[in-house]
This record gives sequence, structure tokens and C-alpha cells, in this order.
Amino acid sequence: MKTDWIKTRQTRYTAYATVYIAIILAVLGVVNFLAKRHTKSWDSTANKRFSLSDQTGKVVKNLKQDVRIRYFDRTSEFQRAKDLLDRYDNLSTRLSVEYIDPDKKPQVAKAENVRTYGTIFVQAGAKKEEAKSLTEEELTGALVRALKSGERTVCVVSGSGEHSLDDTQRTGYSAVKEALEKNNYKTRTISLLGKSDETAKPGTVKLGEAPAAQPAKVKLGEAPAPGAAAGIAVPKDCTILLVGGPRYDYMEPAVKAIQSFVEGGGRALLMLDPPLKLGREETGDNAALVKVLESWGVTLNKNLWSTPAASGSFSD
Amino acid sequence: MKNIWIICRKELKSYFASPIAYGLMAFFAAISGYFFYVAVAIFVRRGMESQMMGRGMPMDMGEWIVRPLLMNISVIGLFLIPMITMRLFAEEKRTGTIELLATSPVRDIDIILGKWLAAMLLYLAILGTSALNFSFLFMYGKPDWRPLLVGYLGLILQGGCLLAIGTFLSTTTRNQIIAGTATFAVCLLLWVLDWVSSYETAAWAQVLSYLSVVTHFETFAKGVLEIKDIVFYLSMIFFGLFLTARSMESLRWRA
Repeated sequence: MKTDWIKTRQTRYTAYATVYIAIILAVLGVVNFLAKRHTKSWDSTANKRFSLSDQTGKVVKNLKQDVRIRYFDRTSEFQRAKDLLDRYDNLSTRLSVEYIDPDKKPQVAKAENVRTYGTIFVQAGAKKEEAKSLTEEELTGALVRALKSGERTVCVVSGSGEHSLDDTQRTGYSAVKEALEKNNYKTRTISLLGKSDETAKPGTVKLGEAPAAQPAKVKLGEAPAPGAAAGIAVPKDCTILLVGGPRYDYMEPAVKAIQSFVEGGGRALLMLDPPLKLGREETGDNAALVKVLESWGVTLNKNLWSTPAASGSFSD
Repeated sequence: MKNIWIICRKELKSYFASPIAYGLMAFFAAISGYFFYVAVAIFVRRGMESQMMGRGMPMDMGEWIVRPLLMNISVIGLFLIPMITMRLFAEEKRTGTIELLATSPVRDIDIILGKWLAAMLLYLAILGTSALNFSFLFMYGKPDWRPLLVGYLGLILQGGCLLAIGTFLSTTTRNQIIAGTATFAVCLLLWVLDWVSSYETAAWAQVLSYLSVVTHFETFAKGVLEIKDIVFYLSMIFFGLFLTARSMESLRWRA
């Protein structure tokens, strides 16, 4: 039997050497793996170009759940994105970043509904938010939004001729509703008119009535509290109040409701169409609302004209 | 400790006594000088163009000159390092002085460290010729010097890593050309391992891409010091020298 070679010195020493090398390789592998997970970096540029701000650091370090950032773009653009996204990746082991080329992986891109190059999705659990651009503000903003629990509702006021969310014509806000829902906002129509009718049709000539005669509470969508204040108020579960171009003036109670909502910490987006008196469709001046705006320091100018022209410039 | 230094000096003397050191320094200076010139020319042209167009572009010398230049210099290193290391052990094996060395009262590790250190010092001297280019930037402008230093640290660490691998490969053969070619091939492989990450994000692809020296040098070129990159380079240097030690040891029990 020619198995003498197993017993020779050479085989023994080769075996020793191989095992030794394998062990050292494993040790180095573990050391590097740990170093990658718990890496610290020091940015030596004068303006700290490659570091993230403290707020981002705080948000990411306190992550309680796993977050995944997906970047969809051509492979040639990955390097530029890595400059920023790798910083996020290094902050926490709970945050992972994936770079996906929609040309090379079209199924993934289609599943995530990716339309353009350079789309960034931040996903925390079930919530998915989009960051509009490859900047730290957008990414951290999307991260914060995705992490926030609870739903956000946009309450759209109706009943005074505002543009309706269900109106699919040119002056309707159906596109607004679509955009809001894509960004994880729920929409709801509310009425500040002192009626408990939730679906006030637009164009009804109901102007705000003094609610004194009506003890009915106007907190819609909530269980009626026995001692609820009898008065018009913006429902508490509204995150944002949207006033979309009312044609008729708001009466005092409605304006007061808006004022107390905003001064109580709520957010409102007030969009007032220019008060053109063009015969068929008159838009009121909405003096009461304008006065409340002025009390907050906002002056309503009726003379800004923006056209979606190529130059994107504004002119008065 | 003294032995390391003696061996290192002997090696350096043989480098500088032959045309090797001077040839390498001259070629490197020429090529890096050309790269520097091109980078600055593009930078200046960009500046003039943006002025004419009226748009103010951020003229960051670090971003537009230093960073690409450091990346280019690290690629030149790829070609340079096989030239430096190929004769470290291969020559000794060919001329038969390896037996003399191995049986002298010097530890194996001293020999290895001495030779590697000599290669490192030669590499540092070669890198020094490129520093002349950067001094022009300082004479006429105010670039950020810290990222530049970090970039050079990256170059030094990367050089050390590739030199260690080259030293190991030099012990495997008595033919310098084979040693040089093998070193070049391995260095190139380590360089392009990064490409796999551009089309695949699976775990194995991430591991492969992590092995590449490019992945780690990029952060140095940006001016960011990361612990994981330093650990990577140091562990590669250690591994390269460790393999050299095993290889030297095997000299003694191979037939």
C-alpha cells in the first residue's frame, strides 16, 4: 500500500500549515466583520461634506425597527448615491441600503412602482415613504415620516364652494387626493357650516349659520361626548386642514374654528382663489378669513401669477 | 529589532544601487505629473466655463483635483508594486543566497519584516515625488490639507497591503518574472473584485466587494477616516506577511 506519503514529514507539515492558515483567515474574517458593523468614521473635510447631521444621527441611532432604503437608478449613478447612503448604512445595523438598477432587475422595480431613475424609497415595517431627492434633508424627512406611527389625515373643508376632492374636471382636486394618498395621508371632507351633514355638496348656497340654535355637535366621525362644546370646530384627528379655494365667504364661526385649530397647534393649508368677479362664477373676498390671516402676520397678495413655463420664473 | 533594520538597509542599498529605484521614481513622477496637469487643466477650464455661463459652480479643489488624482495614483501603484516586490525573495532563491539567509542567526520574521519594510520605504520615496505636484496647489490656492493627508495615509496603507502580498508571492518562485506577473494578477484581481457589487447585491457579492482594495481606498480619497478601512488594510498586511512566514517555513521542510 502506497500510503506512506500520508505519514511523511512533508504531509504533516503541509497539513499543519494549511490548518494554521485557515484559522488565521477565519480570525481575520471575524475581526473585519466586527469592524464593519461597528465602524466609526472621522470626516476630515473642512465643511464636513461627508458627515450626516446630528439630527439624522439621533433618528437613526434610536431606531427600534428595521429600516430599508432602496435606491433605484442606473448602475453608473450608484457611486454618487453611495457617498450619501453609505453614511446612513454605517450609522446603525438596523438600517440597510439596497442599490437596484431598474434595467437589470425590472421585476423589483415594477413591484415597487418605480417610474423614474433616482427614486428612493424608505421602508419601515409596513410604511413606505419616498424621498424626493438625494439629499440628507429629504432622506431624513422620509425616514421620520415612515417611522411616525399613527395616521395622518387631511381634512378638506367643503360646503362653501371649495374645489372638491372628487371633482375630476380641470378645476377639481381629484389629483390632489391621489397625490395625498400616495404619500400616506388619508383624506376626509369636513364641513364647518354648523350642520352634521358630512357630505355637503359643493355649490350649496348654505352660508355659515349661527350655531347657537343648534345644539348638535359637529365633531364628525367621533363618538359624541355628552358635554361636548356646542360649536363648530375642526375635528381633533385632523393632522392638516385644507381650505381649497372657497367661493363663498366663511362666516365668523367657521373662521374662529380655523383660527383656534391653528393656534392650538394644528396645521392648515389655506388656498384662496383670486377674488375675480367674472360674472358666472363669483369668488368672494372672504374678508373674515383674510383678517385672521393678517392677525397671524400673513398678508394675502392678490397679484402673483405663476406659469409653468420652461424658465420657471415668476412675474407679477 | 536591529536585525530588521540591518536587513532593511541592505535591501534598500541594493534597490538604490541598481537603476530600479531611480527608474521607478522617474516613471511614477512623470505619470503622476501628467495626471496632475490634466486634472488641473480640466478644473481651470470648468472654472472659466462656469464664469462665462454666469452660474456659480462650487469650485472645490478637493473634490475636483485631489480626489480623482488620488484614485489615479492608486491605480498606478498597481503596476508599480509588482516591480518593487518581485526581486525581494525570488532573486535570493535564484542566486542561492536564500540558504545563507535562512541558516543565519536571524529569525524568519526579522527577514520578512526587513524586506517588507525596505519595499515600503521605496514605495514611500516614490509617492514622495507626487507630493511635489500637490505643493503647487498650496502655492496658488488654499486647498484643504486634511483630506489630502488622509488620502496619502490611504495610499500608504494600500501600498503596504499590496506590498505584503507581493512579498509573499515573491517567495513562491525563483523566477522574478513569474513573481512579478503573479503579483500583478493578484493586485488586479483585488482591484476589480469591486465590480461585482455593481450588478449584484447578494451576500456573497458583498463579501467579494469588501475584499477589494478599491472599496476601502475610496473613503480615504474622500478624506474620511474609517476604522473598518484601517482594520481591513492592517489585517491584509498581517495576512500577507503571515503567508510569507509560512512560505519561508516551508523552505525548511520541503524536499
